[in-house]
Amino acid sequence: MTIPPCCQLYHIPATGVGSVSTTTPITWTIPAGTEHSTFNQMFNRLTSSSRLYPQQVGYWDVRATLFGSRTSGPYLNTLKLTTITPSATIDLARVYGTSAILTADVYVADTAAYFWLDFGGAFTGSSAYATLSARRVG
Amino acid sequence: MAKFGDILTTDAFDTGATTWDPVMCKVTRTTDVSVPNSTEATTPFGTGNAAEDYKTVAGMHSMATNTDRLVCTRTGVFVAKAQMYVNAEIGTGNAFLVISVTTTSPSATVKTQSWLLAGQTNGSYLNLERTFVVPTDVNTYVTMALKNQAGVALLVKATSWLSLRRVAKLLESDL
Repeated sequence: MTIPPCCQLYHIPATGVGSVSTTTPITWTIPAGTEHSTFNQMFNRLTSSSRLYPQQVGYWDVRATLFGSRTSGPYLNTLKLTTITPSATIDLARVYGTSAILTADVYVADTAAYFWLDFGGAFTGSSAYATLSARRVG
Repeated sequence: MAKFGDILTTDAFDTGATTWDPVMCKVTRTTDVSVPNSTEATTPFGTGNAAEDYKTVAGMHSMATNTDRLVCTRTGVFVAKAQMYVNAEIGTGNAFLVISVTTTSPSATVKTQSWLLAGQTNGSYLNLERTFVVPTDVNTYVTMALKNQAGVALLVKATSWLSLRRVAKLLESDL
């Protein structure tokens, strides 16, 4: 039985966090050993904690869920893909709102590329949650 | 072959491209298209207004004929995904993103839709996903449409996209 490359990340905000993120990628706060991955290089907790690296040329099913109270809106949640060669960032899926489900299928040609989330605005309080997953499908 | 006790976080996975046999296609609008009020219009993806992001089977999409369709070309279990970027000013009415799955034999269409609420003053994104089975009719196709009940004409903006992917093959015992 072969095992397709896949990885899911969970964002667990620290207690009492006032603002989780602005327009930059969130930092994934993941206890050691709790990420779920069939490929141990897709996620590095220490050096690139907000990124998910597919690492292989192929077709990928990427999904994200988001929730968090916002100070005002609308905020645009975006699932993004950044490639190194060529240097570019593209939006795979977008949606406004305090909660969101995002999904897209994408062909990745750059083995150094990575997926990440842009929340588009700051959260209030500590009630912010997110998941990001990628699974190779072709 | 993985066996009991194997650590699955190692690199013991399939890297052979020939084993994937992907059946998938994705198209993206490069220009805006207007949809009049009180109209449900499928979104075309043709030469001059769209691009094929990928297409693993030639017959899945044409840039010249029936450009609004993604054709399954195979039996199996499929997933269609769509994102529609609609311009501002929905007004007092509503707008819907519709994914339609149409079989040619017998001729039938089943629709799934998501709802954009009235009163939006910013451009908004509609997202929708639909899973379906193609038991025999490989000419089954998928379209996405904007059902405009907003009271004004709306634009389906550039960057809106539609994708289709086979997620599983069917066995004889499944039919």
